[in-house]
Amino acid sequence: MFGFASFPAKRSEFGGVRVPVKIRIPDAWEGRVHSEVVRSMLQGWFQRPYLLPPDPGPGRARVSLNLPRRAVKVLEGLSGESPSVALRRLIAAHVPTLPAPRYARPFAALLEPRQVGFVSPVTDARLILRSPVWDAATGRWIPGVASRPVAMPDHAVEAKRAMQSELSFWFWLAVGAVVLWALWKYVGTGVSGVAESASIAEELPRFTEWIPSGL
Amino acid sequence: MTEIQNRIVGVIGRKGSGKSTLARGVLERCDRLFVFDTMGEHSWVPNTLRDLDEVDQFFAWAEMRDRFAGRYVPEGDIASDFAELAGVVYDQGELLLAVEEIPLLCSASYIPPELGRLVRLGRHRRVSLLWTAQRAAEVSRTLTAMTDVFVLFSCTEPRDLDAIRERCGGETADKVSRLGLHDWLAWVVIGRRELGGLEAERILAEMVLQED
Repeated sequence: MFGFASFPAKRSEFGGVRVPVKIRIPDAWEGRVHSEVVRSMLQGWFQRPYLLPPDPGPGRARVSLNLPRRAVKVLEGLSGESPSVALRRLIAAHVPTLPAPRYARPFAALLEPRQVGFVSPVTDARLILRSPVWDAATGRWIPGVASRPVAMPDHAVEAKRAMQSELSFWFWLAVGAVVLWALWKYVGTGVSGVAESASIAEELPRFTEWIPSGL
Repeated sequence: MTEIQNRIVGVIGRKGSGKSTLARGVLERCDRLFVFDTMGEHSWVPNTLRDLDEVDQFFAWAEMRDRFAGRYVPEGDIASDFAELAGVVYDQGELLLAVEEIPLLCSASYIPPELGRLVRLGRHRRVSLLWTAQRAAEVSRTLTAMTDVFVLFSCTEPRDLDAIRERCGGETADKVSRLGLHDWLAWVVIGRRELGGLEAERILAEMVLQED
């Protein structure tokens, strides 16, 4: 969706007066598309035009950009598309360089679940949104998808797991050693004790019983 | 309240007077007996032991028996053997220990600590003692002071008669001096009374068997 706001425009360094432009963008771009970034894209494109990729299509996210009105008009005319489509195509050409998402709501980042420690990726219900990618070889967009987070190697976690595994190994080795020692100790003692008892038993009968005489 | 008591019996007489025979007559009635057979005279005792390891084995064997009898015939140093044996006997407890010719282990003014412990503390372990000596004057005063019954054979030696007089009284000493070669009398410390004949033998047996 595209439209010029009714409130007065103001002068800017590039492209003259800026006007707020509201467009729909793919979900993966949410929080990553800002006025300053798009203005920089426009400036670069006007300095050295290049072929824009196809429109990835509108998403559910909405963004309001403060852009030079003239620049948007020229882009619209050159691309032959609506301003929103032309801007999405322009932005799509720079998806890999888009900044990290910003959160519109205060403390939103704090509210979002974070992976810490040994949180298994499998149990993480968050979706990872992958941006649409332009495949120059086929001349087609590879659409963005939402997927479960993939277990990414975390060196700290891996190190802890390795250490835990190693400690577990030594622990069970020690337990096994103690069990073997106990078996050797008590079974061996029992055997030697039986042998000793048998030895004593062999010697004891040589003593003669005593029958005292009566009064 | 029943007090645990041991009995100490002393047999004094010249060689050939019949000390060992009388002692045997008493000891043969004893259920739990061990003899320190210095002279090797008590061959009637069924178990003869000649080293202290055997003594340990014997007492291990005797541990679970109501009746037992053994003798130790020392072949080395009598004093050291007795010292060790006395410890074993004290630990064993509840038996009668007979010691032949006790002057070989003590003197009038000296008693070895191990024997002293048996004499002084034996009652706590129910260890009774029967000792023999040829001469009363050579027996430890401590031992004579703790003895309950004296069996006195004929004696003419003045120093021995003095010792008997000092311990049992002048009248008893006079009687001893007039006894025949194999005659004897018993003198009981408690009550200061003399016994003779069958009555003496019965009293001796009762005392050795710890029958109150």
